Amino acid sequence: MVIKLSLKGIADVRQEGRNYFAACPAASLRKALARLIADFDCDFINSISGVDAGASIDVVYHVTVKGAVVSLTVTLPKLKPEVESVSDLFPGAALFERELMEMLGVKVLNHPTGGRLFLPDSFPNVHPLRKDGA
Amino acid sequence: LHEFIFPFGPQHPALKEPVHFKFEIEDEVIKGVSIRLGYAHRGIEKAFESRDYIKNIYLSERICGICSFSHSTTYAMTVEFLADVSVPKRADYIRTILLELGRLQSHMLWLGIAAHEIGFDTLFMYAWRDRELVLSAIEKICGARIHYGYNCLGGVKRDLPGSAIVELRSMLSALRPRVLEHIAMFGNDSTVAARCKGVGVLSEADAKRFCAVGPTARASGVPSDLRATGHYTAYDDLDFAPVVEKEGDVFARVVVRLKEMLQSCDLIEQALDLPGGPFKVIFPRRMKRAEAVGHAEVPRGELFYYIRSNATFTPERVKVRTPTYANFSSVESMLVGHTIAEIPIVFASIDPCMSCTDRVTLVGPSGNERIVRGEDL
Repeated sequence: MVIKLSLKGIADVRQEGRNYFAACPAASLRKALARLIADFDCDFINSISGVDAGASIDVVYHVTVKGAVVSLTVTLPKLKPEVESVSDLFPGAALFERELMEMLGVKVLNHPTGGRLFLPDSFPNVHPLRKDGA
Repeated sequence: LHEFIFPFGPQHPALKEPVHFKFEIEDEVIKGVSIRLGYAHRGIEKAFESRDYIKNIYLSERICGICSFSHSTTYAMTVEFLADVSVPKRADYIRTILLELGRLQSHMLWLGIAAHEIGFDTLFMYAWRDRELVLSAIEKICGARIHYGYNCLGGVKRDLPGSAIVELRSMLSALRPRVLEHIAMFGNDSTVAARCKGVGVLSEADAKRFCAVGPTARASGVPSDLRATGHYTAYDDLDFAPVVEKEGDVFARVVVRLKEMLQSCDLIEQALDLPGGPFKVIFPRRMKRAEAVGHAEVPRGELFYYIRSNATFTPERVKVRTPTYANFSSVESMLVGHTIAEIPIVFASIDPCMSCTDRVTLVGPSGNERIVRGEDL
């Protein structure tokens, strides 16, 4: 099954096997996800992966659309990585975003709870999944 | 009326694994749940980045002692997507057989623990006795019971000999009547019904909203089963339908797992008609620059891997999202509005005792926290 993904602001959707990969500007992420929910019956977020890509922090949102995983990559500047929360669109994403915040030091704006999830309160203010983090 | 915060875990006599919950309690009723994880965090995602793709199979297998084969299979599948290598059909079938044996032993372990937690220790003994049949079969095929060490990139390490197929068939014919016995015992017992029916209900809407996976979702009427929709290993060739229950309570989750045990027996039976041909292919050691996702339906739900490679021998990033992690979001919905007394049943393996809790935190109207010790009470 082939899905035609035509989302404003998202160019270059790549299909590999059954799955799709696309780069998405941080500003249009929420719009793109809302479109996927409204027009493609997407109701499942598989995960959020944070990657320290050297010069930038990449945040990859994996959602399931008609059985295929669509991965939207948002590239954030390393000096000020900030992204809007998507946990109002996908309540299941709230824990993934807390992990993203502490493990990669990405600031998730408007997160419902925030706070540490995996790391203890006494853990120093470093982000273990950054390449220079540990 | 005061609102109390009731801390639970990470070290607690009734907890088998370290996890910490904070329950906001108002007059015995749970108003909110917050979760802290990480007490068994071993930094495995970071460790993936410093090992090559082959060593990482063994690392992924050690994420969990129950879903060990599920982890190594999902990891291997994702790396196979990354390298754009397809696995021989025979290897797909052998992996399917072992994935289903893994599901059988995992569900039986869970059934035993669930029975133990509601005080039904006879069934706990039976379930774990019968689990040995499955573990012995796994040991005969792989040489190990827990960490199979059987997967490799591009297939499986050793072929499944004809003698193993004969033994698996006779194991299944011994196991099937015992599974039916467990279903009759658990399904007809009034104590089980009293402890499980109508408790910890997760509605279909909430299961979807919180992205629940696996038996938790299927017990709430969400027919999500990647074996039916994920097109991986040999499941497309096998005839089965996801087990779905509507009620969404603890009992429905028990029933889903019991029925899935029978289903696994059927799936193994079908997959034992192995296609011929090779059981592995030659696999590159260095990956090109790429990214891939892989997911599989493991005993507890969808297991998800995301791997990014950087044209070296080691991955740039391996992200693992385990099914239990995905299901934690649903826990709040299962418990809010229920009483403290229902926490243990919903977690099925927890028996909390308020008198064991040596202190509670009192949240005043100003939000200032005051610690109240046992003596003050």
